[in-house]
Amino acid sequence: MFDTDKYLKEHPLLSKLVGENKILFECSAIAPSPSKDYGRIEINFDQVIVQWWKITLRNIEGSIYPSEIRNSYKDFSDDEIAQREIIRIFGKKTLDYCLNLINGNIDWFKYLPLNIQINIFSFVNINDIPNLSQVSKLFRSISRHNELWKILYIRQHGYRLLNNHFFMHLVQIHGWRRLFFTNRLKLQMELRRQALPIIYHQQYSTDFDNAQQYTKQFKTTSSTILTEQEEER
Amino acid sequence: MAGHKIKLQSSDGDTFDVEVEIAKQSATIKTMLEDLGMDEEEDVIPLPNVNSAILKKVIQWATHHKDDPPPPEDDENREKNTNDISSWDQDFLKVDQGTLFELILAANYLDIKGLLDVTCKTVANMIKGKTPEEIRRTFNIKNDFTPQEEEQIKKENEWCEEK
Repeated sequence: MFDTDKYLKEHPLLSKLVGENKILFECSAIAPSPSKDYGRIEINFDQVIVQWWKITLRNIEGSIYPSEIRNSYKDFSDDEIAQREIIRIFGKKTLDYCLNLINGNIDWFKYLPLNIQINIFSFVNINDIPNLSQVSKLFRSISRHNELWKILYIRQHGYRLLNNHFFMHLVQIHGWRRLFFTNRLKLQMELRRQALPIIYHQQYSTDFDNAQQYTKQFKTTSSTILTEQEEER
Repeated sequence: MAGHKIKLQSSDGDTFDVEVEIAKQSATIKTMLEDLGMDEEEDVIPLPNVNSAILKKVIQWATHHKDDPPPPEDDENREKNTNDISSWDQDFLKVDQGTLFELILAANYLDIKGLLDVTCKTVANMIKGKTPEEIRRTFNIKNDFTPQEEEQIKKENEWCEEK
């Protein structure tokens, strides 16, 4: 049987991530309707603990008290009662997950620091990302992370616009993911709209000539931003 | 000073003689050497987070890649293609998942960009082109969505694909 303690001693960096509480998996649930039974699983480095509480209106002798099974990994893999309760309350997939876990298939991915998770995601193809977001809540949150889309944006569109004040303002409002999917024409329009309040403000606060100058200057730069970018390629 | 060596000490106490130029691929070690002004041959750099099995692999990798040009700093020019992993690296990374992730963490801790990228690409290759269920099976990931949430996300994604 898999020896988690020994394994983690051989992998000090991973072992640090798993943490002090020594819990590999913990989960509680209520059995599918109409049953209201409550269950809880905890897997630590050498034990599988399964607890369940049958909830019933009728007072049936013996079934109203919570039950608990504490097993070593080895005993758990042979324990039909504990496994049956897990299937009943949590479903077959959770049992499979537990059995994989005690056989040494620990889901290391969830323990990795966020910067590494994002780095890994940045190497998949864009069309893999919808699939990734369906894997789990963690995968979904990484696949929507602003830092990930920043990397993807820069790879796709280059650094050119990162110096643009108005563009960075748009990034703050909408996030990188949205701008990644915004087409060039729309982006140009948005950038101009961004600049308008400033121009308007300047027209009344400073002298008119300066403002006119500024407007003209901005119009040329904003419309050439994208064309210049094109020429650079 | 070609051939000049330093000693690296793993968490379990083994020491390894490594050429300075090879060790300096780790930005962490490079900074240590510069900050502490270590250049005596007797100096030992302790790496309390890396055990000897992993350190051995890291040194093996760094030795093989000692003549590589330094990786580009900016994301724009960084190679995003995951099919460019050299066959030597592919063989080198034919290890179990635990070791692969331990290597990623070591590369992150030692700040060796090349090794971090190639290991992350290897994991990305295990993900690419797979269905959510296949990805879960590969890494033993538990699906923690409720059926309703799952339905919702599928709908969102369909909408994405039509766009």
